[in-house]
Amino acid sequence: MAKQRLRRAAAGLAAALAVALVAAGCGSSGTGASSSSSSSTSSGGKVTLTVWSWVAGLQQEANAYMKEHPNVTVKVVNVGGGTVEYDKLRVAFQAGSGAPDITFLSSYAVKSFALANDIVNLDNYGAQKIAPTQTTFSWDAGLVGNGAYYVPAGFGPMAYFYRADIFAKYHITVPTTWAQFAADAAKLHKADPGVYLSSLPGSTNYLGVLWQGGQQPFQTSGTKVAINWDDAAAMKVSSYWQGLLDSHLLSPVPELTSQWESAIANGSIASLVGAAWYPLLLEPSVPGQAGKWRVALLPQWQAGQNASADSGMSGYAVTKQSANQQAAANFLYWLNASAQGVGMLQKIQSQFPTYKPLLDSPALLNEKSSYFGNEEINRVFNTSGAGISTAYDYGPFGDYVATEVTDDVSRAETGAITLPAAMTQLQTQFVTYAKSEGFTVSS
Amino acid sequence: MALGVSTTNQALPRAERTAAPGRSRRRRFKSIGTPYLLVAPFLILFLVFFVAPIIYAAYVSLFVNRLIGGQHFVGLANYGQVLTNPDFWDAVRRVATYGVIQVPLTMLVALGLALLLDRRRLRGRTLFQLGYFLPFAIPSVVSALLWGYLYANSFGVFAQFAKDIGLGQPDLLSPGRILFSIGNIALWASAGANMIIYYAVLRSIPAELYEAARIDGASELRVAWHIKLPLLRSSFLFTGILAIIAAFQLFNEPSILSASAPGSITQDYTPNLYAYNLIANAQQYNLAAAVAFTLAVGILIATAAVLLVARRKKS
Repeated sequence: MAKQRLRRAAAGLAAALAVALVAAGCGSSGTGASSSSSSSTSSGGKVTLTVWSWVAGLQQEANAYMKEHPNVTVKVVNVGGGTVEYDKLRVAFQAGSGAPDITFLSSYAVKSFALANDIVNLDNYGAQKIAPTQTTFSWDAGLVGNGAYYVPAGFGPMAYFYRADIFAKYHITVPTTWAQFAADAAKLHKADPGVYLSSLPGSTNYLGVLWQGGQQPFQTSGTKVAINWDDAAAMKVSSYWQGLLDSHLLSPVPELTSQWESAIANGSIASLVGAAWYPLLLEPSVPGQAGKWRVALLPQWQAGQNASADSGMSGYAVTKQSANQQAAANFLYWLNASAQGVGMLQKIQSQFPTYKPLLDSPALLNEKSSYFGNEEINRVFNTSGAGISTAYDYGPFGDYVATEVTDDVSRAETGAITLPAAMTQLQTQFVTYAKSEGFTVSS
Repeated sequence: MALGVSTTNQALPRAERTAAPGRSRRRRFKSIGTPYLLVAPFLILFLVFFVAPIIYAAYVSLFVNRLIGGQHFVGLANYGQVLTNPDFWDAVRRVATYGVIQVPLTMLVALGLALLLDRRRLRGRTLFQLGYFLPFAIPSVVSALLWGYLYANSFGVFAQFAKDIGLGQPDLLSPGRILFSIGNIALWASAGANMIIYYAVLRSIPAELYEAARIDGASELRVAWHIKLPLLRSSFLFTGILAIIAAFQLFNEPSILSASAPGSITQDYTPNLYAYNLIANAQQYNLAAAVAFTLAVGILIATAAVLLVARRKKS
């Protein structure tokens, strides 16, 4: 079940995605109470906050908070991952009641909820005081018209994961450029036709490789949006991956499906274009490959650069329906901008922090991962995070974009459409959609 | 129920019926009110959960609600948009193709099974009956998940078996094959259910008919052709119409399988899936309502056409 839901969940994914899956597999988390939708009530100074989040085990953080704030009760409910949660949120917002006080959101979904006036501007509740503790790009992702609509909780700097044993066996050097990646793909597949270097980056990872390649798809200001989905960078990246598809150098198995996990487990995929949450995916599903994996920075378009992208950043927003918005915001500041809260998120849920004091702390950077051959993997993710371009905008309807792109990339994988053609088609589609939703569109 | 009550009343002695006027009025109320009282639980739920949502959806389908600019009345514009959308027609064409193959195939398989079960000398009849019917009792979500694993290319049973006997490794979830793979799941699930219906009808055929046929020297085949099939006619019509409706409303199987075959099952694979994703993904509730209504009218027309053809043939 957990695996089948992989793709859907992945579309809405967060640094916490893998954690959520593991939890679903264990049958833990509060899914049983998913229908409960209590909006908060305050009586006699006591406050109850409901949080919707698919981050497994978040109740532990909530309990720690309640210990320090006895007048606050925080209830964490897992109503499903990504789009599953957004569907429920939208129904509650549409109905006018039933939404939680706080909701977990992928960074790309923040703007669409903010524009619909479903979540509140946290600047009215003192968000500015924690702004300096967060990395610039993560904070900017939640800005709508200069107001902060969410507090980032973790991000997914992209990285390159590879099987050191397979690379050594076939004398493959770790690719530092995409040109070398393509050459390695050919060399490896020739040496062993049963093994592929990698598969097509699916889901938000494809958005990530476009971003890394320099795509600037949206520029939103208020109700005006400029859409350049099929810009030169997007076409360059898409032609590149299409070339690999055409020469059958990529594993035919779609990413983030149960078949893909099985292909990794049987050793027919030698490397992955992933993000900081991939260890959470690999460690539980292929425990037998412990010690064989390593992490490196993404291959580059220009040798020697450090261009990167995010795949899976997420955070928390306070809903308009909440009766205790200030109390909700205060909990978020503790959770995402205090040493204790962020520390717990990093330790328990392995969220890769956007909170600078922890992100740059030696304790985090020097941590050795036994699964990755005692490599200091957080150092790689940290370096990758520093290379993320801040000039990226998911647009005012990012969750729609993410789902449509995922859909088209999957179709390209089956040969129904080419990736460059998909980019052109998506451009038309996004312009049509933006117009039908009442935006003023330019390109 | 209503019929039962009124007959009892008429069967009462005349003296009872023409009793004191007050009593008679109460009695008359009882005779009229009771049936309504008895159907009330159903009727209320039917109105609240079926009729009201339909009326609301019809109302919603006449508006458009934009992210910027809010809600406007647009009349039938949403319907125009649906009818001119190639994606919608692709989805309709897909379920139509599916229906044309699926509906007769399911009925034929079910009929074959029912006729086999109805043979006089068959041991372990209950076991077969139960075995064929069992798949229908499995929720379609669960069966789609199970079949998804069986179909998988890298670890699925079918692909591995084909590989072992030297047929390569066919990808049963590829865009060209997925519709057949879905059809197979539906066949597996619904053949048993239809079989039970046919079988029940066959069992209710009076033994005298068979005896008469046998005295006339009719073979088993001729008995099947001249007695069993004509008597099954109305159940064919019934199951056929249900199957056509089910084909147009195809949703669960493709929705679940899309997790394993994201490239083969797009968001607008079937009309229902399209309507669902218009809400879940694009937040176009109004358009989704219009899709649902267009589909409902389409199904109505298809059903009416089948009934008309069937009636004309009969007369």
